[in-house]
Amino acid sequence: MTLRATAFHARVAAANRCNAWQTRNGYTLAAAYGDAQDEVLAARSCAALIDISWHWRLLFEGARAAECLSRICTRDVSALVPGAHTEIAWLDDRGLVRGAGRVERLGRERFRLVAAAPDDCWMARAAALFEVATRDVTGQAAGLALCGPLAPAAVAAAGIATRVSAHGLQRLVWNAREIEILGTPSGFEIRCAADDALFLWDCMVRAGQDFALLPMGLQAQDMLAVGRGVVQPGIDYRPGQEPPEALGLGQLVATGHKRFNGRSALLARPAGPILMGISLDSPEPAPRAPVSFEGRDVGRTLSSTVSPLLGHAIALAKIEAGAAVAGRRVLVSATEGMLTPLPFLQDAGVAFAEASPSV
Amino acid sequence: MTGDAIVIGAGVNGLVAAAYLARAGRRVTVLEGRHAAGGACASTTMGGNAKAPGLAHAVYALDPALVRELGLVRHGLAFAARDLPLVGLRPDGKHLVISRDLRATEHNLALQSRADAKIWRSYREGLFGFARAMRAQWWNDRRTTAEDALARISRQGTGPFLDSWFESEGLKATLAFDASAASPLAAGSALLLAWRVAQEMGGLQGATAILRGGSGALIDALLAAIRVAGVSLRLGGKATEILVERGRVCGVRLASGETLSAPLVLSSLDRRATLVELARGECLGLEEWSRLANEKPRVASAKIHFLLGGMPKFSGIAVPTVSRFVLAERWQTYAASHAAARLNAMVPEVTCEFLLPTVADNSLAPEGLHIMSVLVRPLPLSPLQGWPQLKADLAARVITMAERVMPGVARLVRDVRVSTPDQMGESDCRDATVRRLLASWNTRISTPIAGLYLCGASAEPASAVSGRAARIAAQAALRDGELR
Repeated sequence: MTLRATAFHARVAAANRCNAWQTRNGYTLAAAYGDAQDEVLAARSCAALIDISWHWRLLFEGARAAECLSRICTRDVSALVPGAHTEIAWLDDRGLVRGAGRVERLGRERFRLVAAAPDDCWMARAAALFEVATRDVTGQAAGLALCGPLAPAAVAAAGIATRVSAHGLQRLVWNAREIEILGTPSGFEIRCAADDALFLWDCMVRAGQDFALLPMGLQAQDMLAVGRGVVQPGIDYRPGQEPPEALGLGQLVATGHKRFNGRSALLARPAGPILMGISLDSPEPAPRAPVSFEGRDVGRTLSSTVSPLLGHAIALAKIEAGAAVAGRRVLVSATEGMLTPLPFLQDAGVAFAEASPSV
Repeated sequence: MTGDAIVIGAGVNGLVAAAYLARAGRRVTVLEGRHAAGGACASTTMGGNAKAPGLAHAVYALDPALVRELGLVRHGLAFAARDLPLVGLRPDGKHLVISRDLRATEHNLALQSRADAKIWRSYREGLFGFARAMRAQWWNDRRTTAEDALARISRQGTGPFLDSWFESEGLKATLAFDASAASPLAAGSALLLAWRVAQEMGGLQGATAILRGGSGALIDALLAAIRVAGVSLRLGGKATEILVERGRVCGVRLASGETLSAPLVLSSLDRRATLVELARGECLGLEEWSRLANEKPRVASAKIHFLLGGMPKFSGIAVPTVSRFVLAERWQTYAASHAAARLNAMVPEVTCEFLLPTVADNSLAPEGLHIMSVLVRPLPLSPLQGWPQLKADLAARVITMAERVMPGVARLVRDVRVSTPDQMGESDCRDATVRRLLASWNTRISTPIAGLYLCGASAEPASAVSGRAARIAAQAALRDGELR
């Protein structure tokens, strides 16, 4: 596999003081720019800048694109208005999760699926059934995420006048460049042409100086993901192995949506394990370790990390439904811990200007 | 228009399903896109008034239960010959005549190989015994009692299986024809041999029969049965869409735009045509939908009818003329042909099974004329040159092969009719697989759409004129109707 660099690579390399790199989705990305714990604290209390150009982006175009994506996704995306987006998962025929991400409606017959891991062949085969064309546009744009409570102020300081909501998407012209800005529960995502990437990075870093903005690497992102109770494809699960509840994706399944793929198999499935958090008594993370209660195995941990905010290790774990009781003391390998509802910590939240989504 | 049930297709299976539903008091409509009922069994006429059998020139799997329950004998069904010997024709004239008479068969096989003659009895008893045990699986929805033998044979290809018994190439090639719906190298294709001898005709296990009046006589008997039961048959009523509402079938739309409503629909088309083309993927998982939509049969067969101006004469030793003849060199030829056909290339050697139905039933043709009905397989479904170009060539190849064992037959040919794979409907061309042979009846006949059942030949463990799938699907549909 040839490793690819994102359009921000020159700036990322310059900011990467430890020269620490990781690969995800075929891209070379900064593991940490300095200290990952500092980056987490910046994202929780101030603002952090993340290169998200490596996210898989698939464009759906065709007269039946809305019908097709409604059949694929666990939420009825045909109800989205152009300029709105929603979090979704997609399941296989057996009701097991293939992936999770976000669907953005760009127009009446145009949608974009964004996810952390690609599922090209499966999507292309499904789309072909509805005569819908799919196009992988991952490398075509550069993307930055700004998260943290001061992200709106940093965006405003950069001169981006946006009134986008937490579920909206807006295209605008900024400094004579076309950009796309999305509101997300943790902040914003800004996309631009690859040629404009370095200009965007520089502007955001300059504007963020007054708000203690730090660039954030993959290690800090993974720490935050565990804290938020978010599972990651390729790390916590593989396609077609777990039902949504076991991955904490149950809230993405709209029970009122009658047509999504795998629905009947999912409804027929007996209750299985669910995703819980475990607060470990030790500062040592315990990934992929057995979890036992009163001498009986009741589950297994997935990702585990040290939480700089909580001061101890935390883990995501698949726990048998009958044993998943918050507050229950369990044993993870040889370490004691406590079952905790997810997320471990609520996000500080981002205040969006009130606006209706538009393109 | 509303009714209790709609059956799509007026072939054997469609008519059987309709008869069962109507006998249970349901108001049934059968839709047939063509202007005549019969499907693969519809007879055709040649040379004025000679009646050639349809694609199915012999019957070997007709469900005895339905013959009895639908009173088909009362409606005119009769056998012209009910236990055809299998004759492997050899260019050296030492033909292999395999009949129910073990001593005669052993005597004949000894002409090619003493070892084969000696082991024939064990082979036959072993295979017939295994096949009887497998009837639990293939006749009803129960588990087989022959687990050990099943585990062994379901991994074996026909070729290696026959190699483990016999040494003469002619015998192996002749026996392998009955499993040639799958490549003889495909794991589990040996099960097809067992499936074939698990069937019975006229109370004889593993028999092959010819119907009096040709294959169309079966259709005539079934038409009489459905008429008595009060079924409405609509010829020229092509179904274009199966209508589904909230996961349940609610009717069928016809090419004319007319809509028929019914809470039960039984389709004799295959799973792909039914669920993808008519039901438009409704209720299907996207993966299964995609698999079905992209599934193409890769190996097919052709049917050739030769109208002969006289009785052909066989070279070599005497053979019974009311027989099922096989023209094949070695089983490896099937394997090579399967491989070529899968690549859509014209096969190097064709293999044929042929009958002379007019010998057993002289009502089929005017005196002196005979029909030679030939089944040729395996063939590519759509060869690069196209079937219209290859049609004449295929008939010439077959008659050249026949000439080697029946000198002078080419001079007797008065008329030729070739049905190439592109004219024969895809459902007959599906590869036989172990998965299909061992799937439960419920898996084969049910669909993700409530009230919609598959009742055609493609729902059988292996494609044949049987009607068993239709009987079982109709019974399941009736239970479904009672539950609602």
